[in-house]
This record gives sequence, C-alpha cells and structure tokens, in this order.
Amino acid sequence: MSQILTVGLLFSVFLMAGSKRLRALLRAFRFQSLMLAFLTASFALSSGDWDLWVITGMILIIKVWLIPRHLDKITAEMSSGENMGLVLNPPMSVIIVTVFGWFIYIFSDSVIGGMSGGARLNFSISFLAIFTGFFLMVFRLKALAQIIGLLVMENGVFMLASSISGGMPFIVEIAVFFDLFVLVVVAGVFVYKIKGLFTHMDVSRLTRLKG
Amino acid sequence: MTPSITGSFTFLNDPLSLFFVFVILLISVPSAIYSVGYLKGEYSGCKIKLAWFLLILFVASMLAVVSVSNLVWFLVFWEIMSLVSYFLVIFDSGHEKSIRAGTVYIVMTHFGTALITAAFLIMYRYTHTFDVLAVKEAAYLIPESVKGVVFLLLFFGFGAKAGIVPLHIWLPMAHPQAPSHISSIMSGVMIKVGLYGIIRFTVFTLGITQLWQGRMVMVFAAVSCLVGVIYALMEHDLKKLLAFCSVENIGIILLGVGGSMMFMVMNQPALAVFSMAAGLYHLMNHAVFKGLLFLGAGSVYKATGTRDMEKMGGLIKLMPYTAFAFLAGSMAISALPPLNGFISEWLTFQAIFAGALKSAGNNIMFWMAAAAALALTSGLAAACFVKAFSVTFLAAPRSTKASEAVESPLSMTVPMFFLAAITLAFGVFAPQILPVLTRVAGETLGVCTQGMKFTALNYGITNGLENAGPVSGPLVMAALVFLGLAVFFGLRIIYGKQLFNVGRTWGCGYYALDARTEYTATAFSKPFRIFFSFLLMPYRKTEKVTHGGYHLKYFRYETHTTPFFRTFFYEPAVSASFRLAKMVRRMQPGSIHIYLSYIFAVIILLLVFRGKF
Amino acid sequence: MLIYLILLLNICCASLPWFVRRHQNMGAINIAGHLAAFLLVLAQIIFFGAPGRLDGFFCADALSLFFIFTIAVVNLAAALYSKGYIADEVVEGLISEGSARLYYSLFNVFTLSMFLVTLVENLGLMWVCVEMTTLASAFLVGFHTTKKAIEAAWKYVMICSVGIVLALVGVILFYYALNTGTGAKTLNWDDMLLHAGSLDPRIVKIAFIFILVGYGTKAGLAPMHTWLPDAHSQALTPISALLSCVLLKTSAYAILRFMVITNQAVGGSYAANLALLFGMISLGVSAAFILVQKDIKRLLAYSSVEHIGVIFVGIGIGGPVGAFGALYHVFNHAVTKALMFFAAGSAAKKYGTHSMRNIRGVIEAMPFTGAFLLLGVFALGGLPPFSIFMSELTILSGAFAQGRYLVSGLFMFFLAVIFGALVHHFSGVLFGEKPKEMAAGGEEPMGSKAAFILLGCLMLALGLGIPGFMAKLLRAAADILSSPVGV
Repeated sequence: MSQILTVGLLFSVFLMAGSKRLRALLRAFRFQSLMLAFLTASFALSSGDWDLWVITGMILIIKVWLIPRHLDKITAEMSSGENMGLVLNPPMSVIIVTVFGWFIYIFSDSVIGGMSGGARLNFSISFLAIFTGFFLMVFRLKALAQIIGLLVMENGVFMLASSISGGMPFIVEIAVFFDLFVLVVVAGVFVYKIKGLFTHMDVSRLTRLKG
Repeated sequence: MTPSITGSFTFLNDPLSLFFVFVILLISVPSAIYSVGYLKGEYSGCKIKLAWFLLILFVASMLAVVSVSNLVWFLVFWEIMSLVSYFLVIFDSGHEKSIRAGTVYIVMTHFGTALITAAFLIMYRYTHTFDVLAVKEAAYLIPESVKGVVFLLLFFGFGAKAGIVPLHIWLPMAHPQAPSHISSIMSGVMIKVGLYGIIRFTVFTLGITQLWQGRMVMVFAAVSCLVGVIYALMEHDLKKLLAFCSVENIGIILLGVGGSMMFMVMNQPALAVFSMAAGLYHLMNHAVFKGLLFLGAGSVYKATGTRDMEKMGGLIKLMPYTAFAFLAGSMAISALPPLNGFISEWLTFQAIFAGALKSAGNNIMFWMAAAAALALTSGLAAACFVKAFSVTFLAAPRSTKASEAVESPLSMTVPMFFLAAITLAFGVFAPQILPVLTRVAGETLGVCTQGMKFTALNYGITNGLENAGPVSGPLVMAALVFLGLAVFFGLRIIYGKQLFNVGRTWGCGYYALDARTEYTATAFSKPFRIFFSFLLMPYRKTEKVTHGGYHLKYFRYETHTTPFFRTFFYEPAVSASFRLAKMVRRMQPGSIHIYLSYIFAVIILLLVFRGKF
Repeated sequence: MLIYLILLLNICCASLPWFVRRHQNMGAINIAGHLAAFLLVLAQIIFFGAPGRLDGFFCADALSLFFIFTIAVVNLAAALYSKGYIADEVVEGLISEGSARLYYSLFNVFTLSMFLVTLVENLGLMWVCVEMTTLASAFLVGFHTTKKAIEAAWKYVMICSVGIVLALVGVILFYYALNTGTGAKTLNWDDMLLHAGSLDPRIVKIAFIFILVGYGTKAGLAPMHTWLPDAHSQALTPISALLSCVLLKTSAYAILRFMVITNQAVGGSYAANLALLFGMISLGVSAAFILVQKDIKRLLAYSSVEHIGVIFVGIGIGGPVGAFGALYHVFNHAVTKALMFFAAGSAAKKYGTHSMRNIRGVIEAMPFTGAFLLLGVFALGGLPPFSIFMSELTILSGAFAQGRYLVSGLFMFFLAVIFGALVHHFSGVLFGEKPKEMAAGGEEPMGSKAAFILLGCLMLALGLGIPGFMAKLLRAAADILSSPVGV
C-alpha cells in the first residue's frame, strides 16, 4: 500500500518538473500533499499512534487545503498570468530531475549504508523532492514559483522524516507546521509588495543590489 | 594560556632601554618647546590642544614601547604609537596629500606589525612565555631553522617602521606632511624605535648565530644608504630631502649593527661591542641633527609658506639664527669634524675596516664593498647638504614670500640652538661618551666589557686592533679655537678697524642680476641625475607654446625621476589586488537564482569530498 | 527564574504598542524594558551562575548564558538608538506613526525569537525559533517600501528559508542517527550529547554538512552569505545592527551546539576542519568585496562576513584557546559592529546617501558621531587597545601554537588587507572635504549618544581586560565547546 503512495509521490515530483504553468504546478503540489497525507495515515494505521492521525489531519488542512487556496487567490489577483518564467523547458527539466534521481539512488547506499530496499527508495524520493524544490527555485523566474519550490522542499523534508525516523517528536511537528504557514503568509505579503512596486513578478529582474 | 595584558606590566631597566629613553626625551622635549611657537597662528585653539594631547600620547607610547617587558604590552603600545602618529601625519586634514600619506603610512606599518606579531607568536609557541627576559632564557628551545624565519620576520617587520629599503616608501610621504615638530620626532626618534625592536629582539633575545643574518643586514643597510642619499639629492622639497636622508642614515646605523652581528659569529666580541657602539652612537647623533634639521625646515616653512627650495634663497640675512642652526645640522650630517656626525661615521668606518682585517679571502671584498658604500654615501650626503643649505639660505630670494621672511620667535630658535650645541658636545666629548655606549652594547650583546678598553682618544680600539692613529679630540678643538682667534686678532691688528668693505656681489660683469639667474636645486643635482640614471630613470616633459606657430610664447620644461620602488613594486601590487577584487565581485551579480545555486553547489561538493576532512 | 522574566519582558514590549498611542513613549518603554532585561541577565550571571537545565524545556548553561548576555547588550544599545532614529523617521515622513508602533512590536518579537533560540533545549524547536527570527526580521528589513528594500527582503526570506530547510534535513538525520544508534526518540541536546558516542559516524558526517551549510546560510558564511549585504544595508539602522551583531551569532550558536555532538560522535577534527574551511573562504571573499566597495552600509555588512569568518577560524583551530578566542570575538564584534552601524547610519542619514563618495568630511560635520566612527574603524580593523585586537590575537596564538602556519599567514594577510581597505575608505569619509551646504552639528538625540558611549566604553574596556565574571563565563562556555561533559 505504502509502495503505491511512494510511487505516487515520485510521480508528483515529475509532474512538478514538467509543469508549464503555475496552475499546473499548484495542482501537482496539492496532489503531492495528498499523497503525503495518505502516507502518514498509513503509518498511523500500522503504528496506532494517535499523534500521527493528528498530523495527517494537519497535512490535509494546511497543505492540501489552506496553503494552495491562499496561493490560488494570490495567483488570481496577480494579473501576471499563468507564465512561470521557464529557464529550462519542461522536457529538459524532467530529464534533469530523472538523472538526478538516479544519482541519488546510486549514492544513497554509500551515503547511508545498510538500509532496506524500501527504506532506500523512500529516502531517495525524499531527497529527490528536496532537489526538485531547489530546482524550481533556481530555474523558475517568477516569485510564486519560488514559494512553491520552497514548499516542495519542505514536503521532501517531511517525507524524509517520516520515512527514516518515523517522524519527529510531536511538538516539533506541530511547530514546523505553524512555521510553514507563517512563512507562506509572509511570503505572500511580499509577493503583493513586489507586484505593487515593480509591476512584474519576475524575480530574476530584481538586480538593483549587486557587488 | 591565552594572551592577556592584565598583570605583568613590568619594565625593563637595562642599559639599552635607558639609552633609548634618553634619546627619545632628548629630541622630544626641544620639539615640544618648538611647537609652542610653530603652532601659534597656524591652527585654532582647539586644534592646538588636540596637537598637544596627541604629542604627549605619542611620546608616552614611544617611551612605553622601549621599556616594557611583556610582548603583548609591547604590541599594544607599538600599535598605539603608530595610530597616534597617523593622526599627527593627517593633522593638516584639509590636504588630500596628507590623507593619502597617512593611509600609506598606517597600512605599511600595519603589515609590519603583522610580521612582528607572527614572530612573537612563533617564539611563544616554543618558549610558552610572553616576557622578554624569560623568552631570552628559553631561546634555546627554538629550533635553528625557525630562529632564521623569526629573524626575517622581525627584521622586515621592524624594518618597515625603520624605513629600510624597500619598505621605506611611506617615509618621504608621511614625514613631510606632518607638522614640523612631529616630523622631527618621527624622523629623529620613531624610526629609531624600529631599530630598537631589531636590536632588542634579534640580538638580545634570540641571539645571532649565523653569518647570513649579519650579512643580510649589512647588504640592506648599504642599499638603504645609497638609495636614500641618491633620492635625497634629487629632491627640492626640503622636508622630503630630509626624509630620504633619514633612510640613508638608518642604513649607516644598520651597517654598525650588522657589522656587530657578523663579529659575534666571527668570534670577535670586542669588535662586536665596538661596532654596535658605533651604530648606537650614530643613532643618537642622527636623532639630534635630524631633529635639528627638521625644526629648521619647519621654521623656514613657517616663514616663507613653502617647502620648495626653488622658491627660497637669501634667508641667511633674514633669518640668521635659523640659518646658523641649520648650518650646524648640515655640517653634522655631512660628517664634518669636530661635530658628532663625523665621530660616529668614523667609528663605523673603523669597525668595517677592522672587519676586513679580521676576514680572509672573499669576505674581505664584502667588508670593503661596505666601506666603499659608506664612503660614497658620505660624499653624496655632503653634496646633498651643500645644495640644501645654499639654495635655501644663500644668494638672493627667489620669490616674494622668501624676501618677506621673518626670523622665528625665541621658542623656536632656542631648541634649535640647544640641539646644535649638543651636536658639538657629542662630537667633542666623544671620549667620555664612547665608554657609556660600549657598556650599553656590551650588555645587549651579552659580552663582558670589563677588560676591554675603547678609547675615542685614539678614535680606535686598543684591544685587538693596531691603533688607527692617535688624535686627541680636545686638543684638536683647542687648536682650532686658538687658530681662529689668532687669525681674527691678527687681521685686525694688521688692517685696523676697516675689515669689511661693502660692495656689489660680483656677477661676471652683469648688473641687472636677479633670482632667475641663480643656480637652481635641480641644476645642482643634474650631474648626479645623469650618473645614477639607471636607478632614477629621469624623464622630461616639454611644452612649447607659440604665437600662431612661429614666435615662441613660452617653453615649459619639466624633469622628473621615476620612483623606482613605487613604480615597479607597490603600484603593480596594489592595482593587481584591486583587479582581483573586482573579479571576485562578479560573484554577486544580484540574481537570486545564482545565489541559490551557490548553496546547492556547496552541498554537493561537500557531500562528494567529505572524506577529505 | 530570572530567565523567564526576561522572556516575559520581551513579550510585554511586543504587545504594548497596541495600547500605547505615541511612539515616543513606546520608544522609552522599549528602552526601559531592555535595560531591565540586561540588568536581569547581569544579575543572573554574577549572582547565580549558569543554572543548566531548566524544567526540561530550557537549557541555560554557560554557552547559552554567554550568548544571551551578548544579545541583551546589543538589544539595549539598539533600543537606545531606535528611539531617536524612529522619531526622526516619523518627523521626516519616511514612515507613519502606525508603522513606528509596528516597528517596536516587531523589534521585540525579533529579540524574543533570538532569546528563544539560545534558550531552548530541543534541537527541533531551536530550528523553529531560527525560522521565526527570519520571519520576524523579514518585515523589519523591508520596512521602507522602496524597491531596494523589498528586493533585499525577498532575497533574505528566500535564501535563508532554503538554508533553514537544509538545516532541517540535518536535524532529521541527527535524529535518525540517534534512533538507529540507541533507539532514543528525543531531540534534546543534553540527551543527544550523552549518547553521542554511539551515533553512526557516517550518518553524523552527512548530517553535520547539512547543518553547517543550512545554518551557515543564516550565519553569513561564504559562499552562502549572498543575502547578507543586501539585507543588512537596506534595513533600518538599528535593525542592521541587530542583524549583524546578534542574528548571525545565534545561527552560529546553533551550529556550535551540533558541532559539540559531532565532535563526540565522529572524533578527530572533521567538524573543525569544515569550520576552518568556511571561515577562511569567508575571510577571503569579504576581503575582496570590502576592497572595492562603494556603499558604506554594504561595506559594514561584508565586514560582518569577515568577522564571522574569524569566529569560525577560531572554532576551527579549536582547543580551549581557539574556543575562548572565538566566543570572546562573538561579543567584541557584536559591540564594535553595533557602534559602527549606528555611527555610519547616522552619517548616511544626515548626508542622505549611502555612497561613500558623497559622504565626506564627517568629522567636521558631525564631531561626536565622527569621533566614534573614527575609533570604531580602528577597533574594527583590529588595533589595540580595542577589544577585537585581543580576541584576534588569542585566536592567532592558538593557531601558531598548533603550528598551523599557512592558516595563520592567510588569516593575518586577509585581516591586513581589510584593515588597509577600511582605512582607505573611511579616511576619505571622515577627513575629506566637507560639502559646503552641510551644516555642522545637529547631532544625535540623547538616547543615541548614550548608545554610542555605552558601546564605546565596552569596546575599550574589554580590550584592556575582561571583567572577572565574564572571564569565568567565557571559560565555562569554551569548556563546553572543547571538552564537554554530558550533564
């Protein structure tokens, strides 16, 4: 069961790399968070820890519902359209992500040895998600894409935590969620300010401060 | 054990420190008195108070540097001394030149301090103590090769402050810009504190055990002598000329010190003491006459408003006291007997010849080369000061300001006369002074001077050297005075009261002579410029302005010498640094995407190469 | 205990702006609050020593207390300076009354989060607090809604958040190592240290890399420092001081905590070598940028990168001497850099520009500020009798004692180059020709003057000797770093 979810997460990563428009990216993010929620639910089922159920609920509320809704609202209000500002076209992006995924898988054994096959897969996919988030931040020019990239990175980290150590202490998880939400709110405010001052959302053109 | 400066604030009371304290005070007190007259009228009351505060802080820090016994305290006071002198150099902060001079000065001295700090910390590593005397006791713990490296660090670190070529370029920039009483203290005393560092830490603390050390010092000394005096000859800014002259004299002092280092290795303790004493004597003498000369230059500057010799002249009639004092200083620096400069240079020559006598084969050539360098330097220095004195004071004024010059107030002339008197006293009373200095040298070198006899009466050593001709100083003085008086009264008796006839100065038959036909400083130094053109690389710029292409309106001629070290070492290094920095600056182009990729690259690199750590 | 009082004070000051109408009063209350906090910290250190673990939630050992002390001093200075600065900004119409009160609120949220970073026991919560500092200060960086400020704020938030996420990976890997090593399920620092010997070194090595790069981004290590010059130069001056002097140090504190565990788990000098490498790179990069800098606040920001480099070199040298020197430098740099930012910020405000070409003759135009700026330049460059000289000398003596000549040589070279660049730039600023339209005087308000004098005295006093209680605290903190014993 969890295998299917893991593959689903992997799929979501490729979806994101191959997205051409913001809406598509957002949808892929929703999908990924949903997979994450299900994954956590399956852990909760098998371990019977009620903490994990709370966390599943939080993922559903915050990452699947609230944050994408907030970002959707911002996207709609920004009349910059759906364009993400691609530096690398989608096919190329998918290839790069795939190649890197392969590298991570190969090196995951030398990096942290002695993991079982499934754990190794989870580990690799989490790092791939982190890398994809990074990729989105570097190779997509619009501010909103950068925020989503950051969120994808956090998703990857969460996946990592769940897969190798069964999550983190409860209070830490709650605090991390809260932090994430504040981050999105703050970043959102800045997106508005950028739009207001610069009238464009292209972050690569913010180059007044240099040297 | 972390270096700290709480506690252990003790003083060294040995002869070397006391000697330097004496020299510092000998120059600083007259300069301070001089500044009363000098600063009045030039600056506002507030600034004068600041000048006094800085002066006292400066002198206090120098006194502390030469007498403190903890290495960390030494560094602290050393840097305070540099910092305060920086403020004094940029005192005339309105001038762009002052600020530039100050920056160059403090940056170079800071690099020097870095070298000194490195040396101290290496010594600390092996001896585990910061106290000078304790380090001296434990110096055997330092391996020989490391001692060599420490020696080099100390020599160049302190050499930057002392003004050894090639670390001298700050000197002719900073000394002229400072107010004159400060220039006199800086040239007279502060650069000697650099020499104190060399003597205290290499000779006294580490001990000299290798021949190459003394040789290196003498080579740099000889080069400094010659380079200093050649550039001095070319200058027509009076204070810059004096600054270059300081470089030359530091070289002469180091010839004595280097010679003493070589004698220690050659197992000639008596000669080592003698050579060091010669060096210390010249140190003291140079402080006196250089201080005097700078004060004189300051009086001239205050009176005429310029430091350019080409605009002066005829000041001997308008400022007779200043001229007399300046003449005494010039004679002393040109090593004319019976003044003090002659004594110390003579003693240095003696030491070098003794070295030649005690060596064999190729080594003799080395000593003779040093002697030749010293001789050449003395000659050139004399020429230099003939130029300096005569162009400034003699003949007729070359500008209106010079013709309006007034003699300085008493507060400025009295210190100069005091110093002039000292130049005479240190020359005549050499037989009394030399034993004191040999005792200082002996303590520093760790040689017992009980059994040795040095007599300046013979102006030589009776221990180990066939005497160099018995000449009795006071006898000579007495003879000169008697002769002078005899001539004076003799002439009066023969010719009666009318001894002076006033007439026009003979000018080859022309009667409409004015200042434009006088010998200029540039012209005076032309033969030297030609002779040393391999070093000076003079170039000229000419400009011809005509009326409509045919009739000559005016012709402008400029001649410059290329500052060798600045053009070939310092300026390329500085501009290379700036270019490198500009290349690195391209790392921050403003694009957030590039910044993020740096983080990514770092992580990947570290993960791949983590085995290397 | 007293620590709780400090946190409470911060919370109060954060919420009071909602009730206090006039920002001048809020400024005064802010000063009072931070003065009280500082006195409480002082009392705690002098009379009660380091309590160690508090209620299983807070960790207030010597290392934490030392950092809290530093934070409290700089907070007080920044509060003193803020009052006059914000009043000026409101008068000039650059910010509104409401914004001024928002400023005070955010100021205290910021300082609260920094205190929390140094106090929490749980490494995961420490992470949350570090992220909170980023978010709290984001608005303070982008306070003026100018293009440059918003650009700086965006870069700050994005780059630091990326770094923080990487740091979280590191935390998780440490947790994983603890899980597989001993089966313990805790992120408390004390417990992790107890079990440090049984952590798998391979995992810890990788985890530490993520921690160093992640938290190092926030700490300002090159080449992850790229957000620093923008954010520190565009922020309001008192916030620049807080960012440079305290925020960077709290991130360094986080790295230090992990380093202690890594040293126990991996042994050898793995962590120290990494720290040394980043320290030297920071020194080199900052030297190059300082040499060709044109903006006065950016120059000071790069100088912060340089000094973080110095601190990490000290940590990399290690041993009791290196650790002592590094921690001592944390305090000295905080004090000196705050003074420099305040002085330079005042000058920039008066001249209306950040460009050093246009700020000239400060010592004539603003004698009080100029004098402190002058002393600050030499203090920053590492000249005695100021404190930075002593801490750099300590680190150097540690390096030489270990025979690391290349490291020491490069260290001294970079410091000398930076000194030359500082003198070159600031001699023009201080002593150049004053612009004719600039009227002399019109100096600082009382609060700012007090801040200058406080910082200047600290800068000088610590150069001459460390007071007894502080030396004891420093030594205890250095002991934790170099030879810890599990509590």
